[in-house]
Amino acid sequence: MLCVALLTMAFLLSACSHREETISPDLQEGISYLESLAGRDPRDVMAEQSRRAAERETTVPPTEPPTMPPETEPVPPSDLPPTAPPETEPPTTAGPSEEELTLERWRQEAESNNVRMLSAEELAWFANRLSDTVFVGDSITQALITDGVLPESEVFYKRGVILREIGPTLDRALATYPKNVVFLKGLNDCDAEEPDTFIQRYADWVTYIREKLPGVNIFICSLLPPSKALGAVRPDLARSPEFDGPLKTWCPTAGVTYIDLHWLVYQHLYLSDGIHFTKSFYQLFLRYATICIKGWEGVPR
Amino acid sequence: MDRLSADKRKKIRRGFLLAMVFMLLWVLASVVNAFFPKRSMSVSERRALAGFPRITIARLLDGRFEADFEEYAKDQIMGRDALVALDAAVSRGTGNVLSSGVWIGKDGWLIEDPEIWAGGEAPSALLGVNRLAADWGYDVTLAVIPEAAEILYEKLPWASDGKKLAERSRASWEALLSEHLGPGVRAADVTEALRSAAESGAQDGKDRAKELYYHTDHHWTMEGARISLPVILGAMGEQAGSYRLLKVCSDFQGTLASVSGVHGVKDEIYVAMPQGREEEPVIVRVDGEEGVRTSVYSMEGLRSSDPYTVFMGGNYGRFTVTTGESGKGKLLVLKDSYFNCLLPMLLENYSEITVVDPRYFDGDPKLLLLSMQGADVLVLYSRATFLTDQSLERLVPEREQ
Repeated sequence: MLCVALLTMAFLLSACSHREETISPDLQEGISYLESLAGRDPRDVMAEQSRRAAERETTVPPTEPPTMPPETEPVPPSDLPPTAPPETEPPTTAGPSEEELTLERWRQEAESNNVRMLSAEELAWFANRLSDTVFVGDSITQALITDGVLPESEVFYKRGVILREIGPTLDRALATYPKNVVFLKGLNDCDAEEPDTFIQRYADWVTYIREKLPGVNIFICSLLPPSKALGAVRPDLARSPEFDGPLKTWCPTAGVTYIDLHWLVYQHLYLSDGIHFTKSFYQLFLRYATICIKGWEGVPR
Repeated sequence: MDRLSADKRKKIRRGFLLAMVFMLLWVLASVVNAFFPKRSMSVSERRALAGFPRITIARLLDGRFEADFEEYAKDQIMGRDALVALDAAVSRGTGNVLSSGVWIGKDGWLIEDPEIWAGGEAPSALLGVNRLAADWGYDVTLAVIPEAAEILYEKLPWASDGKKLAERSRASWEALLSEHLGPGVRAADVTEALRSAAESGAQDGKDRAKELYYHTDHHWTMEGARISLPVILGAMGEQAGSYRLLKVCSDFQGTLASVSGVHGVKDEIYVAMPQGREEEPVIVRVDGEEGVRTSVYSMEGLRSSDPYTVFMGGNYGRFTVTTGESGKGKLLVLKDSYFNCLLPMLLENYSEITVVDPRYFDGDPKLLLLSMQGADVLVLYSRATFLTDQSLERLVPEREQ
């Protein structure tokens, strides 16, 4: 009988046990403190972070991305005029910086289609370096994932999307509360917009982004032309410079950084469709975009 | 043959009936228990409960099924919590002061019997820490927090010989570091700071905010973390700020209460607010979680049945905190749940803190360590977990040259 009574008691206690919570007045300060922290708007927090960064005068992403050195045509030996040996004089100007040399080497790699592929270690470094950055666009942006350059957490795209309809894709990107937003788009807008409406679309989205995430840095990559072969048969796409030129002019006036990728326009860096680019293109894009967004520190050369 | 008297026959019948009743009750209890809802977790003990074991010929033949079934039966018996409490009450009533590995101490203290390194090979976790520095070139600070038995040995019952137990625990830890701590790893020893605070008399219950460990849980308190902060940050070349403790819970009953079945004192949980300066603006991104958070505290955790999870809402594989301290360095933390209450007091020292719990991290360890190059590393564990953990070493693969 005792066993029966104990078992019954155990069963009832187990079935009926519950925990009541009460908040007494002396806890109110602590709980209110926690609630105030949890209730903050992430946009306000990011704005506060930006304000403190500005106060500390930390390194700001350059508003003018590094300029690629111009291509120099080698002079055929027969055209060289006879010259006397130059007088030896000490150099009056400093030689190129390490950054300039690196940029020139990247340009040569692009030109010769002999691009050094980044190692897994280097790609992991870039992914971490750009963890506060999102890339937004269309299939041109998608290739950052499919070519194994950046993780999905940093790339937001919709194939074929035009600027007018990029809102949902942009919202997904902004929901991660990035510090940097980079537009990387292809030629879809060339037959959907005119140059002036194209610029206005970007202006509207920039305003939208700044309202949602005050203090965020915005970058727009150049609108690259189609390959020469495609451009010859698609004049609607070949007019991309009519969009890109005004874009480049407008960006600084709107406080947006224009990332000029024209130095990567070599025919052998296009895929056969004449619109999309090869893996080599994205290997160099990753390096160049990172120094435009974050500066040179630590960037694998 | 003698005929049985009527009385004897009656007694035999009664005995037979009693036996049948008990057998019936036993069968009934077994059947009810079989259909009783099974639990996957014990919230009070903060651990997973054993599920029904896999049946294979091999497991049946080598005894693994039987051993696992025994664990399953112990974990899933109906009324388990009440039976544990009953066992503890009976145990105490007969003068037993050690219940399920928990010392029932003075002034309502429940103190876990400490894990003590027995000598010989280095624990798996330390091998992982050494490899972080030697193979991966990280600047590593190791902070292993001593258990309450070593710091509050005066609260242990007489039968435990508390002072000797504490000395043994301390000596074995020092021997372990002396023999096996690798080059490039810096040990931050918080024992002295905690002992000084314990000796100051603040553990007598008059000022609950000054308690260094919980009475009913295996964790240290926010005060224990606050006392240790200058030592840990100092080892990393950083300065500690000052904080005011605010109470957020006054009826916390932790794991030790459930494990031992002794439910006496209720604990208080405190959080730390920066003193005399603005709150650090933080954005917290948790792997696998949509959106971001703006606090390293969790109201959901505070309101749950485990209010200790007010600190970050519990343990996650990885989360990253970015602060308003751009220009300052980055920190990678490998940890157990002891770190969760220290985190709010590190926010001002780093621009970004990536926190990884190796027990739950399911990403690529190599990519993690490659991507965090240049960050300082803090490994913070409780002594008990550090001496038994296997997951930290798995997180640090040998680096391919």
